Amino acid sequence: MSAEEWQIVFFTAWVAALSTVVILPFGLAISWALARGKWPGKSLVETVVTLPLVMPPVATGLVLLKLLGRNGPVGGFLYSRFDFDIVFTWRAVLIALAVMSFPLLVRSARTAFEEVDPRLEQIARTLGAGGIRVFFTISLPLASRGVVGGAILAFARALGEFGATIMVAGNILGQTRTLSLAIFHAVDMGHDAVAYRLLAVSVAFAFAAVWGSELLMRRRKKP
Amino acid sequence: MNLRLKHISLPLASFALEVDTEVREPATVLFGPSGAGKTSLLELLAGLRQPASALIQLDGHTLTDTSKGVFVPSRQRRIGYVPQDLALFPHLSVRGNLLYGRHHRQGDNPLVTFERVTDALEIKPLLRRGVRDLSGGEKRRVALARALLASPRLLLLDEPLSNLDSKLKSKVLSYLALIRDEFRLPMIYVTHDHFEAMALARHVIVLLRGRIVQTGPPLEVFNRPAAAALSALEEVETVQPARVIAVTGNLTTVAVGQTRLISAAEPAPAIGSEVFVCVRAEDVVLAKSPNPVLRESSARNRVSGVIRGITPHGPMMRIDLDCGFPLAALLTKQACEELALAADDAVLALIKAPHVRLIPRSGT
Repeated sequence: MSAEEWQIVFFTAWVAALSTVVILPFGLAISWALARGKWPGKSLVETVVTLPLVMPPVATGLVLLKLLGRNGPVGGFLYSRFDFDIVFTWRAVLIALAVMSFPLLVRSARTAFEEVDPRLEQIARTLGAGGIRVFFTISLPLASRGVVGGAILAFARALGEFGATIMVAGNILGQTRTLSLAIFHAVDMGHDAVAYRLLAVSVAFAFAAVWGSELLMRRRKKP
Repeated sequence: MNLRLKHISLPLASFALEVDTEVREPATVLFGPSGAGKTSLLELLAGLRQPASALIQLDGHTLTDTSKGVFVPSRQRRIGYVPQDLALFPHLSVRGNLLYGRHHRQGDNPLVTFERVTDALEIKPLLRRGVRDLSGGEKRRVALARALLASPRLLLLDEPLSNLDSKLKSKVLSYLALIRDEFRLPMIYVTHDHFEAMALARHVIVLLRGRIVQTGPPLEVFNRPAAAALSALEEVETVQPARVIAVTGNLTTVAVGQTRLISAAEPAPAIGSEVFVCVRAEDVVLAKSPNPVLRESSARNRVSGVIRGITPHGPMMRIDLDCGFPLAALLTKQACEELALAADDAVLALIKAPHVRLIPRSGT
């Protein structure tokens, strides 16, 4: 593989991992709130969070482009205030991956939290534990299988993201080109050998992610 | 202990829990049929439920006062709660469960130390095990110890002996008596079983459809149930204080006043110990007296008595006897008519030894 191809592989793995790390705290907070809380607007939040899962990725990308572009409300503010660009940079890739993989994490983690017996949390409170301690010592460990499963799913989704990325970040070699974009580009240009090499890397990534998660789940099941 | 429960109101599915009482006895049983609101009352005390209105004070500290908007959260109440399902933390070891409540509370009860509690409840050999593969009795001990080690001011126990076989029951009962006496921890104990109530409580609160229908010492409450609804729901049972005078083989002889009864209770209590004798009314067979044939009956207990009263009890007839102690019997109407039983008749009461149950009577 050429240096160029290696760069694409590393960039993709790195940005997908970073997006998973970034969405984890938000994902946990929202899935916890959805699983346990009763608050106004809950179903609206639920819908908005799920939206990227059901909308065409390109459409989601377009929404992001309009929001984050120099003329958009968010992008415009950042550009005029801080001279800070998002669109067509690696940051746009990160945001696209995060938005697209977020619902997968939340759906999985939320179910896992719902399956934790609220009784255990109540008893922990009678033993003197506050909300944060209960969350980190009872709820999260008991939901960990679902949370880890959700995070791996989100990571895998991020690795393969295409539609939203190309809309909001473009396909700039050395800056925003990810594995999926590179494969598309290679096929488009007739560079079949490159496409196959990158395909092999994708398969390896997918295999490692799924196998790793299976191993992790099996180990967690034991005690 | 002084627990004040004033104008408590908590709407439940089909009725409201409405309670107004004061608890001073360190060992109190909350008694009543299932669905009477007993567990809900415990959860109210533990701060796990919000009442519509309530004033709850424990030893002068206000825990809930809806009129002033006071609601102390569970974690600050220092009330240990052992629910019926125990709720052990499945992802932690026994040790992890025990230590969960220990860190953030300075044990101001010097009697409650990790050493003492694990020793007394015989948990030491279990410490490194996971909680999933413990037996029912072991789980209960761990749940008890976990609640104890958070050094609570009050312990709430929800049916701690349900689904245990009788051997384990008496073992766990002795642990509970130990907690009551050795760790001097006041407890409120929910049960619908006479046997358990008698063994532990000095004070009984009878709850029926969300309301208190009777309070008092166990002997009084169980021998003279105040609410007709309750006595119809429950089995009629004679409960009398007695003393163990002999143990021969697997039979125990106890003296109830001047009368002797033979019991097949297991394990046999020590000679000289104080017990309660319990006999279910439906386990008592009556015969006209004198009756020479019955000299050859297999029943270990043949007690002569005089009929003091005959009252209908649901489909049955309740016969109250004076056998030197009050004894209740339940007969069918047909049996009553055939024997032509009437007040002041002399009768013979027959009770098989296994039907004479003994409850250790400690500290009363």
